[in-house]
Amino acid sequence: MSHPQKTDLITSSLPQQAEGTVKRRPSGRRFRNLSLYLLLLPTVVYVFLLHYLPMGGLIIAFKDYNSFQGIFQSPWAGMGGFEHFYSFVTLPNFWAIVRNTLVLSVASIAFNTVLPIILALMINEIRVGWFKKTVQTISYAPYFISVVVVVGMLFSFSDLERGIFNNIIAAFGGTRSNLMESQNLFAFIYVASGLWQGLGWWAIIYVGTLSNVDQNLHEAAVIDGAGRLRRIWCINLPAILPMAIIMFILSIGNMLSVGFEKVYLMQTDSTLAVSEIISTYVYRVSLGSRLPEYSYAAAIGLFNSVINIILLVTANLISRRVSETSLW
Amino acid sequence: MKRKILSFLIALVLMAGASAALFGCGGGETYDPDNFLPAGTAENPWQIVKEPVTLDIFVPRGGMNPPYREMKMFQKLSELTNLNFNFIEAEVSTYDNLRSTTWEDKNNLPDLFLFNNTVAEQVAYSQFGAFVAFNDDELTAGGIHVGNLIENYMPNYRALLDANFNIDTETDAKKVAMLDDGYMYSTLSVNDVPRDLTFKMFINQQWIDNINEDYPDRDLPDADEIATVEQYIEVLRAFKECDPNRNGKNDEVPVTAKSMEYLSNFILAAYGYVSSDVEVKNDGSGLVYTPVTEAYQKYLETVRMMYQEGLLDNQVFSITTDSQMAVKGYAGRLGSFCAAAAYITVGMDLEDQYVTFGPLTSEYYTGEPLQWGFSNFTASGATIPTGTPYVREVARLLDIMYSELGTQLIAYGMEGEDWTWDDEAHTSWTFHVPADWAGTQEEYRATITPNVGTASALYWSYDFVGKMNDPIITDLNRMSERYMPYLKLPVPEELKFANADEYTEVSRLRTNLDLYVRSSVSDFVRNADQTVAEGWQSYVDGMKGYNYERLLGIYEAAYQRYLQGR
Repeated sequence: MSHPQKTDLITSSLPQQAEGTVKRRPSGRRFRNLSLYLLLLPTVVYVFLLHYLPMGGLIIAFKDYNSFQGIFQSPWAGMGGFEHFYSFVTLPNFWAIVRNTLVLSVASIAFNTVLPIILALMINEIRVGWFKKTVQTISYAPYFISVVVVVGMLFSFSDLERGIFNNIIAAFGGTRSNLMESQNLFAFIYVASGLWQGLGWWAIIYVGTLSNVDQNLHEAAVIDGAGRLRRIWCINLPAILPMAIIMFILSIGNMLSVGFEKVYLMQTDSTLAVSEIISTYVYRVSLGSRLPEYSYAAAIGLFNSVINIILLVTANLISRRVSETSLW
Repeated sequence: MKRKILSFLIALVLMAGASAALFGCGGGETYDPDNFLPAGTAENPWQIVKEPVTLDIFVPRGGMNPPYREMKMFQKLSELTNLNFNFIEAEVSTYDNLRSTTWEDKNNLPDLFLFNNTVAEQVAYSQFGAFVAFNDDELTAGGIHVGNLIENYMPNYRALLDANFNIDTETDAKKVAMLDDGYMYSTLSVNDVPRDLTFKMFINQQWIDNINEDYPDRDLPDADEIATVEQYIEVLRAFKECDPNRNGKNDEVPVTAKSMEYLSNFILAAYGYVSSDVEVKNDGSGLVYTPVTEAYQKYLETVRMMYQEGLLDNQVFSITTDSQMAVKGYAGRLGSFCAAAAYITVGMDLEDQYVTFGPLTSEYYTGEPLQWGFSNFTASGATIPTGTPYVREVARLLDIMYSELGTQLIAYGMEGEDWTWDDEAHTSWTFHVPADWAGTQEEYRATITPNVGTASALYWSYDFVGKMNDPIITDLNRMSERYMPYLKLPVPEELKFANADEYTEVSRLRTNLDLYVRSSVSDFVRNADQTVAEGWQSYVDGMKGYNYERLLGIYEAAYQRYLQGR
């Protein structure tokens, strides 16, 4: 679902130019840019074949799919095709699953949007070149560690007897505990480790924007007697706000699609009550099951996507009204 | 202009090439019935076809294995039978997906699905005539009447079926293979090797000896004599209190497990049930969903007490891999654990301290001791999709895999090349790993057979496997045999649900219930403030919400059909 959005972002600055060329093109020379269109063709074919065409397969969400009869011959599901959706929303733990998903995603979005901005503003204030580079490199290095390794590290660090976290807690007089088994800490560990990993990386885009801020503005502000904080507040922050809003809207669009791998890897029997989210449940009934239920899993996935799209459109709408920044 | 035409032409050529690759048409072979040899030739009784023919075989591939065509076993089979094999290999993680897409493409179905077949699929697809029935007297294929494959072309398999594979069990091999319509769509996977028929529970006999030496008044029973869960807990308490590893530190972990499932298998068994699922009552009168039984409550109380006293490893809910368990095992800190073999958990140096024990009973359950057993037979061996003309060829190939040669090939390879008999009487044999082989013995075995990691075999025969000359394996065999008289299958393997919908429903109900039970067990055991009895009612109510009664109902109906069919 996220691919079309990315394309939108990249092309969003182009429409005006494109309109210009259209107007200037003399009529009767329709094929003038044929080779350009040909160049474009592979991408269009690719997107159509691999992104739009497979959407037809979503039909299995409304069917009782079996691979012998195939996608189109399989019988329709009960309740006018909506049986699988009904089964899902009437699950006893449906609300728990949705709640868990929302808790993790809202917390992630909140921290992952705000903290990188603060980090970027701070990095931007560093005047010593080599120090600035070092800080940046160190802060984004963890981004390249794979999720499996990160979760492995979490389990090791939280080890009851030898884990560094427990050693620190014990050194300050606290009692050792199984951190990875704690329901209260699950969301915190999830978000905090995510920040550790991604903070520097997410800040890069803001640092880049900040370096493009017109120095004249700063000089003028200094002449007007503005201090550092005042300049950050009145110049730097407004400069990166549009970018921040776009990033925020995009992350809203992925609200219910919290990273499956990490949550699944972090799950223990003890935390299932707070860690079972939509995507891990989909995995459990489809690929993780001895008898994969593709239709049921597809129905849940579709449910997920529809809500994501609604959230995305709403967030975009609000943003356009309030701040005049929007995806489209 | 010329250049434009040229680039346009190039684009056209590229597109044409791409579409040819996409919709490429394969040449169809015509089937020659006379190429088949029903009984081989005078020189080579194994030969199946006069001129080489290629069979497409869909197989699961384990992480340790090389591609199938490089495995010695299939090279040997190809050499003996004159058949060539084209394998469609599915890694474990993508197996179901690939199998689905393979089924969808009706024009390119393989000639054989080898290993990992499911009864659910057979029930679901046989209604569309998707499978060749092995026992269909009216079978035609490739334009000729071939009749009953088992009767006509599988003499080894037929003899073994008639003899119930010479296994002393109540399970009826034929009924396991047969669906309610009377047809066998799959051959059986057969396993009578004790060490692969149950979980094994190990305890440190050395520690018991040490304690009896240091604290004579404790008077602990030997591992062999531990018969009840109460005795077992006394031993664990001594492990906790008496520093049996004699390092002066209180670092002993009396018992641990990779997940609660493994632990429940033998502690729950002491209370009369072997699984956290639907299970046959011990008098055979019907079925019960064990997580709602009183026995299960007793079991939870015991495990909770063990956890709260520190007898059960307090990290048990964070342990998910063998290697996590092995950290404590290698350090000589484990008193008792569940594993496939002791050396995996504690290493070769400490391996000989550990022996198997159990099964246990308890004050609550005083009947015959029980141990969770896996079925000797499963209808998962091999299926032939309808449409292939090569059913007789495939049937003979499968039959070889059930022969003495086949059971040897899939286990340890070719006599004289990979292993040799130690004596004339064939009482034991030795496996030969080349001296320059850098990896482990199992890694070498993976170059011979797919029976590594994935446990894929049509016939994993103790008659051959049990004679391996290897001290650790021999020990393991001996220690596993103690469980054999007590094995209990949670539900009979012959039991089949009525239709595909029931399989789907059972699968979904079980996914939800399993999640709930696991989460609840963890809550009960870890919660120091609430006893099991206090939380029991709301737990059972929760289970009703997940409709365990429906699950039990589907099973019960199937069980009644099974009883009537006996």
